[in-house]
Amino acid sequence: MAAAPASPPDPNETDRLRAFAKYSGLAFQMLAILGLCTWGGLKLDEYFHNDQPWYTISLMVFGLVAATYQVIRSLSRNE
Amino acid sequence: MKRLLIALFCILSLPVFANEPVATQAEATDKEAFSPSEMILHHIGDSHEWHFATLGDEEHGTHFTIPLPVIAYQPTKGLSVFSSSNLAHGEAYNGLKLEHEHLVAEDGSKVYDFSITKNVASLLLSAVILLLVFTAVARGYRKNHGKAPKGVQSFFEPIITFIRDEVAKKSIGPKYERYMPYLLTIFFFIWFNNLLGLMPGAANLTGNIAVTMTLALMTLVITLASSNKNYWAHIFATPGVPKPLLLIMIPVELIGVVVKPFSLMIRLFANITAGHIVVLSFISLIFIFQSIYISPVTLAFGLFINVLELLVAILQAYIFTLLTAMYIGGAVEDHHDADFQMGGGDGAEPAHAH
Amino acid sequence: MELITPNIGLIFWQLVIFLIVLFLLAKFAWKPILGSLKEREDSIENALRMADQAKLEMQQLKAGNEKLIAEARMERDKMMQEASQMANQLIEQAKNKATEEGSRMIMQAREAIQNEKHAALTEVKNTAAKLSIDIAERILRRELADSGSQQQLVDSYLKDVKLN
Repeated sequence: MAAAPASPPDPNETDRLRAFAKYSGLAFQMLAILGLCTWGGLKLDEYFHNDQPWYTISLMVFGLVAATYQVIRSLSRNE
Repeated sequence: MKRLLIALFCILSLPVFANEPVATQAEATDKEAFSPSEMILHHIGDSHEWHFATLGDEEHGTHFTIPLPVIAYQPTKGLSVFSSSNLAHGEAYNGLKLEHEHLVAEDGSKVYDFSITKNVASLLLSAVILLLVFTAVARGYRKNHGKAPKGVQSFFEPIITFIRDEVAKKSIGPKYERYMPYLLTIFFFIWFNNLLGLMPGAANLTGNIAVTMTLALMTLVITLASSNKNYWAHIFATPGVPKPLLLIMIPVELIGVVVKPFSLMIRLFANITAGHIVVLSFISLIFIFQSIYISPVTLAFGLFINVLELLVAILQAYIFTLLTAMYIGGAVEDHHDADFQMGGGDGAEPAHAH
Repeated sequence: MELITPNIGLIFWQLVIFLIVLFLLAKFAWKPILGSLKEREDSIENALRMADQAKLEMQQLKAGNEKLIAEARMERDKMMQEASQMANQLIEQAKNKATEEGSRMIMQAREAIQNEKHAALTEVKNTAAKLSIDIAERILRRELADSGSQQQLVDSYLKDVKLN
């Protein structure tokens, strides 16, 4: 790695790297939203001693909507 | 070639990360047998001493260890500072003892652990390296003023210009200059620490959730501090969305604000930790099979993953920096062109906002 | 769970050390590095711009030279044309003058000849008249002496006249 001094990468390659970073970022973001919502739902259900995991379910649905919305929004923003 | 490696890395790291500790859970209960999960968790976790190697067996062998200072704050007793060698082998000192690398008080009261742990020591080391390297680069610029770059300066110059042109300028726009110091520092900090983490016996700093959380929080603070009216208008009154829907949209937008740095935190943590776990798992295979003949295979795989991790080290630093720049760019952006395409989806109100 | 529970001490140290590193690097590394990168790029850009300008100036100079040459050539052509025109004119003028002079001289000569002729004729006439009167006088005188000789005389005088 250190042997060859890094030459400025050609623009095509950079754009692809950029796109990779961006889209994998979106995937992670989606996962994070779902994870956070599920975690929060589980905590709430535990706190209120619910028989049915209503908080978990509704927060998961909310997380799904939020994640989808975030992805659509990021994709439709022409950067 | 690069894409192949990236794809391979994506496939390899996450499933292994999920499976490995579970698969070896059963073995961990057996005290006598070698426990890969314990070994791996010990390696990727933090420690109050810097342990390099052990010759001979656990009980009687020679340990090559640097004891590190313990700094503990107890609301009842105040601050206490002493060497971690006092706590070796589960001994108690000053009413404190280590339980699975957790500093606890013997009487069960609350202890805040500000010790210089292995990770903090490694953090200090990387800070010194960063300062030495980049002041040297800066000196190069002063010495070769108006001339072609030389030595270490010529190695880092393309990277610095890459961060400036490809990351900052493209993502943030004309106001990029204010954020350059942060972006460059975060890039080189993550990169150097990723590489340091790959050295044998080194700490797993960037694979520690506390470190990635702090980095992500700083990104969040900078994003919020530099956000303009547009950014908040988009969150609390998304253009083209009817009023009742805003009740749902506001939490959706707010969760987006929080989740962006959260995903940065998880990603860096997961990637680096997963890389370490994969390398260690391959090495553990030797001890699991208790056979020397398996070692060439596992070493070859371990080496391959390690080389892959060299690439991942810079890739993750780049991604963290790029996404940080993108988030800042979204906060300082003057207006979105895509607003009108967004709002019209429900059809309740035609998108004729402002 | 242990792995994903952030440790307060590490957060504290990370925050402190990172901020110190950020501050020091920003002050002692990034500022001079980015400054000199920018300076160098600016100077390169300046040099390129200046080269472009010089090229443009050269072109302008060349175009100016060509224009000057063309102008000089045109001037020369004009001058030559004018000169030849003038020469032609002069020749024409001279020719005209010469012709005029010639014809004037011819006219004068003709006039002089005419005058001479007139004068000569007048003289001849006068002489003839005088002669006639002379002859007549002589005849008249002789008549008084001899008529035969008078006749003779007249005849000889007439002979004389004829000779004249």
